[in-house]
Parts: sequence; structure tokens; C-alpha cells
Amino acid sequence: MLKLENIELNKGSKKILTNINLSIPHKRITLFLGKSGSGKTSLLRCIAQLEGHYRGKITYGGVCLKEMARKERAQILSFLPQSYVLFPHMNVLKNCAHPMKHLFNISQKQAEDQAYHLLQAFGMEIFVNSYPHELSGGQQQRVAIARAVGLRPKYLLLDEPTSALDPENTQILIKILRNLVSEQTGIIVSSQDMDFAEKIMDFSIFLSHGILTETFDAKGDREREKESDIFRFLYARSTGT
Amino acid sequence: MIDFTKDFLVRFFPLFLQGLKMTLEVWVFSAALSGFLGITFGILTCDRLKNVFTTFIEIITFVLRAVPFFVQLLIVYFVLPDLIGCNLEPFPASVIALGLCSSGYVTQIVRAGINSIPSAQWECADTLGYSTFEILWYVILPQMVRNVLPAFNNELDSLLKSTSIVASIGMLELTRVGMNIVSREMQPVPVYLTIACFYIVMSACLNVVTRFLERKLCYAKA
Repeated sequence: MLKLENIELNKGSKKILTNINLSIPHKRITLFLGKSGSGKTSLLRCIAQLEGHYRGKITYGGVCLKEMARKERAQILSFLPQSYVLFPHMNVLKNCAHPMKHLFNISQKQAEDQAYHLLQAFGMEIFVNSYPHELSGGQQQRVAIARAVGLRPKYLLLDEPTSALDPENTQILIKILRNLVSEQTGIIVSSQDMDFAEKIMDFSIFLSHGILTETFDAKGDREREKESDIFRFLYARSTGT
Repeated sequence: MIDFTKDFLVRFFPLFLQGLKMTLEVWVFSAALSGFLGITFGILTCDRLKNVFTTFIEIITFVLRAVPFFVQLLIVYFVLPDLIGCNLEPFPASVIALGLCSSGYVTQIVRAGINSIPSAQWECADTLGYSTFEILWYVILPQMVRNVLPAFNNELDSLLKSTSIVASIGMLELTRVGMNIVSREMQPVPVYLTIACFYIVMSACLNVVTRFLERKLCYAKA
């Protein structure tokens, strides 16, 4: 369980996040919803320890992530930014194998074998010798997810993963995320793509101006749907408001 | 006239070659010094790794770029020995002066090259568990080198030509050899034109090497 306690983030005099308390369940998909500028990405980046000066505590199994060594942290969570995620000077195989080799101190050969099997699982084994710029956006993203999963993190953090995907690729992504959850990985996704959000809806939080206004658990809160901000947001496109 | 020039050049060719060798030596050593200092300073002044030394290094590299190379050479050759209390031969003095002067520019090239790499690259490598040194070595520098190869080529080119200035402190490099021959034989035309040709050939070789590297490191033709 990933626990967030009193998270606050200021940039200059601007408050980005205010007093966020949250427990993020393991082995489920957690969705961060909210309008643009509401702090979804900032919260993700805080969890990934990419915002150095947030206040509050983020712990996994009682251990504070901030005080953890980078190599340990990499095995707890992996973060995928919106774009530019693969290393452009390495081919697909090396992109996946290189971080593994470093984190687990295994030989080049072992890392490449593991990376190949992983890419196979994502249907990307035909591209092992390609460079990232030769792949489409969706393919690049799948390689990036494979690379992150290769480090066997407990949580995978994705920032707006569908922003550059067509409907078909979005469908593939949803399948991949569901598979990962069934393979014991927790997924944390920020999104403002409502079609996508609706389909993977499980545990969701709603952010507004950096404040957590609502949490919604699809497993137990079904009857609250009517008065939920999250649902008003989800269905805004159909009612036209 | 042509026969005369030919005989003349054949007679002095060994001397030219000696000068050429010296020019190349000064060039290679000063380029190594400049590259080492420039890359170190560039890394320490890039946006992501700002630290306590950054302002200090920025001031030093600014001064190195602000003072003309000839003046720097005179300072290193005539002033530095007084300050450190030991004699400096023309060769190390030339290498130090050239290396320092050029490192100011290399710092800027490297700094800009590193800053131009999207921050997502740093962040991804960070969450994949790379240490800061590993991020630099495996992720940032390989991309940086490719981006700034043309600028490096420029700097090496201008460094090569600056080596002719160290003739003024008595280094027997290509230009000095030429000047000595002229003062003895009173034949400036063939001598200086020959020297110019030597520089053109060296510069051309450098360009070929850079182009080759550019093509070799070119992973994205888009």
C-alpha cells in the first residue's frame, strides 16, 4: 500500500497541491481525474519523487520514499512521462535491457534475454533492432511500459498515457494495463481522456485546484454515482455541460 | 618560375614537416585539455546540476572567453612563471593557453547541448534507478555529443588555426617555420601559400572525420 500524508506542493507563491491524504491500493488501477491544471501530473511526479521539494510524507510499507536509494525506489515504482520516454540512441532491445542490467547487476546476455521475452509478451519482439524514432507513438509507449515492467515495480505510474494514441492503440493499452493488474502490479494513471477513464474505472480520485475533492471506489460506491463529481466530469461530454 | 618554386619547396619540405608535426602536437594536446575542462565545466554548469561551483565556473569561463587568445598566451608564458615561481617552456605554455582559452567555448557548447535534451530523459532514467553519474554517462552525454558535433568541429577548427599564434613565443610550428624560411630566403609567396595549403588539408581531414562521426552516430534521420 502506497500512503500519501499531507502532501503539499508550492511553485513560487502558487499552491499546486494542498493537503492531500490518500492510500493507493496495490494490484488495482487508480485513476487521477481532474481538469487540466488541477494537479494530476504534479501529484504523480511527487509520488515518483521528481518534485524535490514537496512537503508531507509518501510511504510504501512504512518506508519513506524520499529517503530511499534510487535503486531501491526503482523497484517500487516506475514513472512514464507523457513523451520522450525511450532513449533515442539505443535500440528497442537495449532500451529494455540496459536498465535491467544496471538495477539487477546481471550480465548483458541475461538482460537481453529477459528483455526479449518481455518484448515478446507485448508483441514488440519484431522491433528489437529498431530505434525509437522508427516506431509509432503507440509502439514506443508499449516498449516503454515493457522497459518499466522489466524492473518489476510494485506500481507503474503513467501520465496521460492516451494523449497521443488512436482508439485502437488505446484499446491495446487498456488490455495491457488490465493484464498488469492481474499480474500483481498497481497502476496509477492520470487522465483527462474520458473514454479511456470510463473503461478502466476502478479506484478513482478527483482533483480540483490541487485539492482532493472526492475518492470513488467502483467496487463499493456504485450508489453514489448520481451525486459524484467524478461522474459529472465523466459524462460532461454527453450532456454538453 | 614554377620549376624554381618546385625545387624550393622540395628543399624545404622536411622543415615544413617538422613544423607540421609540432602544430599537430600542440593541437592534439590542447584539444585534449580543452575537451576535458570544457566537458567537466559544461556538466557542472548545466541547468539540472546547478551547484555551489556553478557561478564560480561561469565567471572563470566568461573571463576565458573575454580575453583575446594572444593576451592569454602572453599571460601564461610571461606572467604565470612569475606567479608559480618556475620556468615554463614554450610547448607547455602553448598547450595550457590554447586549452584554457578553448575550454571556455567548449563549456558553453556542452552546457547548451545538455540543456537541449528533454527533461523527460533525465526523469525516466531517474525512475529506472540510474544514479546521476550513470544518467550522464549512459543517457545524456551520448545524445549531447551527437547534437553538438558540428559545434565541436567548429571549435577544433578554430583551435587548429589558433595554434599559428603560438609562433609568437618561439614555438617552431608550421607558421614559425615558414616565417624563419622567409626571413632567410626572402621568398614569402611560395612559403606562405604552402603553409595555407597545409592548414586547408588539416581542416579538410577534420571535417571528413566529423562528417563520418555524424553519420555513424546518426540514429534518427527524421
